[in-house]
Amino acid sequence: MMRSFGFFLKETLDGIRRHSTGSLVTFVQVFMSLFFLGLSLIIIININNIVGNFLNNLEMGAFLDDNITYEQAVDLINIVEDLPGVREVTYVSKEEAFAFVQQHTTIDISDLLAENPLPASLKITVNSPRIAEELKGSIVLLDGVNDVRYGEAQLQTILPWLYALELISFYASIFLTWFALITIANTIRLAILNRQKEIKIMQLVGATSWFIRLPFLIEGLIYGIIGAALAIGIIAIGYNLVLKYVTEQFIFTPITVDFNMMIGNLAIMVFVLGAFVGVIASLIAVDKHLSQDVYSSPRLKKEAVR
Amino acid sequence: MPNEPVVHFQRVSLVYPNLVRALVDVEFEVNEGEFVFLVGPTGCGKSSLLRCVYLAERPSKGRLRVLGKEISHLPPSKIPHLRRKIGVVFQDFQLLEHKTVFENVAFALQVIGAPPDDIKRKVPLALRMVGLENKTDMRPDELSGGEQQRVAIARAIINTPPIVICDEPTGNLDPDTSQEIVRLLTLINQRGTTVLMATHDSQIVNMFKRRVVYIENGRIEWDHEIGEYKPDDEKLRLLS
Ligand SMILES: Nc1ncnc2c1ncn2[C@@H]1O[C@H](COP(=O)(O)OP(=O)(O)OP(=O)(O)O)[C@@H](O)[C@H]1O
Ligand SMILES: [Mg+2]
Repeated sequence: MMRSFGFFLKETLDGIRRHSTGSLVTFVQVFMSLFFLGLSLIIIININNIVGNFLNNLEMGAFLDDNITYEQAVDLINIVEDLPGVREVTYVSKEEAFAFVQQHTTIDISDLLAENPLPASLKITVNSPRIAEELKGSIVLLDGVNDVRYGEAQLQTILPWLYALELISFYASIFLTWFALITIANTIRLAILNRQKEIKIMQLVGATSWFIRLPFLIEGLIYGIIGAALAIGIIAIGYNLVLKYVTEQFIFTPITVDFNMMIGNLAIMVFVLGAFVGVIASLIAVDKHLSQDVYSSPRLKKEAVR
Repeated sequence: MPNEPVVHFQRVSLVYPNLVRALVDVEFEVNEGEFVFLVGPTGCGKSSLLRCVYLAERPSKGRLRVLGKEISHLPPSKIPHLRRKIGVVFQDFQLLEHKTVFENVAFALQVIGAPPDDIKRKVPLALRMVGLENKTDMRPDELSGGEQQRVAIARAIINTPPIVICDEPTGNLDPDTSQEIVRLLTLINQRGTTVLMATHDSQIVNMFKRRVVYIENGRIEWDHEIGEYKPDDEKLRLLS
């Protein structure tokens, strides 16, 4: 098989050249679908990242009454820890709260304030953002808890949008994959029709069916990987530019900043997907249009023979 | 079994999906090294008979032994290996227009995975055998009909198959060229290759004096060791 590889490649390239207009259109279409697919994946990856960082480690602050005793606080910690969806509870004393604020400012606030105005609180790490609101409701009812806060307003507005965008991107990816698949399958169908005569001769001189199929599988693979390579290249350049702009304009960016990791992962995904789609598409086309040996008709049922 | 026929039809019938009965209980043997003309009116079943031998059609009934093997139930995956032992030549040459003479012949070896060294060695030999050693780089449209048929013959014999099947190989050629082509086939036959040739050309049949099998309505009507073929008789008979 290996020694014929050069022959396969030559036959395949020859075939692509001979229906070059169709092949070119395919390259462009496959490139376009994989390009938009890449964009969708970037969106999905980034949203996952944002949501992951932002929400999966969601912290709530349960601010305690000023006059609470140490025993009461310990009781509260035990109760809250047992609530479903709570991962971790830490006690933040008035002094710690003050020190934390002090850390984040350059002026000495103890000079400005006669008394520490900050309440003691429980820092609660929540497993999932979806139960945050419910949890807040239960905690706020507990004795000794004054108020519960998390970035709720912000979250409630942004979360549905993020999820919607993620869903759209997900469906877009599926559609784009399907589109690339159809495009390649159709081109391979044309390639097969273009090569009817070669196929006939191959069958006549005793080529095995895999030998006949392989050039078409290679052709599909070529569309997939070249389309993917082009898409990845352009996305990498574009993403780099966007990233530069964003990091210059904003101090905090929710976009995954690690360029190499992002593009690296994306490249692997798009490339594997492109190759996979290319091969599957040609397998489908080959199976549909090449399954029948042109020289061989099926044996008839006995009844037909009188 | 040294004397087993290379092709043995045992009460073979062939019914096409449209229920045309192309072959009816055909009993027919061809021994190694024979040269057989298949003749008969158009639509009598000559092509159908030949197509069964390389399993382009499967017999609907009966047993068909080719090169010592019963093939009517041969699984599709084994068909390529049968066909490597049978060279086939058609009336319309079946050459690839975009390939040179050399490439057309080499193609038959390449697609069965032959090593490049084999190809480089065998193709020139085959082309010399058919007298085209000086036209290896030409394309089919630069060749005469007879030359194109020689390319097809070179391709058919490149694997030195024990059987060569020709379905009206001279159908598109003028009488002189036809004679040359059949002479070439007899040369190949002299090297031990069994040749089965369907033809309408009574002049050729009568000139070469070989075994003649006459088919009519899918049945073998007569089979003579050194046959004569008079299609005019046949027409007269059809008229009456
Ligand atoms: N693929 C097919 N499907 C259905 N019927 C067919 C098929 N091929 C041939 N036939 C029919 O089978 C019969 C025998 O055909 P075949 O081609 O074997 O004749 P032939 O002797 O080769 O004729 P010719 O001399 O014209 O080439 C004819 O009646 C023909 O119409
Ligand atoms: Mg015929």
